[in-house]
Amino acid sequence: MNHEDQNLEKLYRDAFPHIARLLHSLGADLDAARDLFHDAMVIYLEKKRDNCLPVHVSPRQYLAGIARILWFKQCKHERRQTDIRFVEDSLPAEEAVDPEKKSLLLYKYLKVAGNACLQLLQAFYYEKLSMPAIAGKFHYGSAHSATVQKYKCLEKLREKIKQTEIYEEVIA
Amino acid sequence: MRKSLHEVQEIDRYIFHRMPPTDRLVFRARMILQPELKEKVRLQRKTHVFLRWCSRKEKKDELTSLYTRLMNDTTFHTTIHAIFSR
Repeated sequence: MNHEDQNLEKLYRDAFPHIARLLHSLGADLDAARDLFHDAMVIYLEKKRDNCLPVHVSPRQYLAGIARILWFKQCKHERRQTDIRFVEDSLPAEEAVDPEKKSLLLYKYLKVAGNACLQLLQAFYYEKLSMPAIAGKFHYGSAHSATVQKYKCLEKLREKIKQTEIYEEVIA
Repeated sequence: MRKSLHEVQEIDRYIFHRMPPTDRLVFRARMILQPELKEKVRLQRKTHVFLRWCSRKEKKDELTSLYTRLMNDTTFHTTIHAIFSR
């Protein structure tokens, strides 16, 4: 286990019981509390990566604040969904389009057919690694070669997304 | 770098606001005149949204594995279940 993983586990052990207690008091069950905690952790890790965390707030306090906001947002969304379902019941049934499901299908395809490209793009656009660091990590001769490959991958993925849209239009 | 890759790079600079204001204005004018460029910008934005979704999904999968591992630890498991059994 590397240093980063150790820190993540330490934070999880420290923060989750505290946030689970908070969310339980607001009405969440264990599954909902875990999912919201994970969403809050993703936000926390992204802010940390971007050096955007507030200075005088502990990670646990920050996570609790985010989890609380996400819980209220989810409650509001669920209430709205219930209202929509009530209206939809009186309308003709149509097959629901689930963007999450569509993304998952494409993700699974890319993990098999284009994982190297996907990893390279994620390293640059999500992890925000520098091109020299990416060249080292993915064994490119230079930062320039890695940059060219990055744009090739982005073009390829953009084309795949376009094809997916065309396919969806055809089968719709 | 071939021409189409230069275009991918240029679109990225537009999407991520890394273009000087005058270039940005010119680029917007080109999008009005060239609907195919506008379409490429739309698709490239969508590609970036998808990439962020993939990365977040992987991070959440990693956290789920960590949760499963920690719940095998008796102390942690007992602490968490005590909260929800109240």
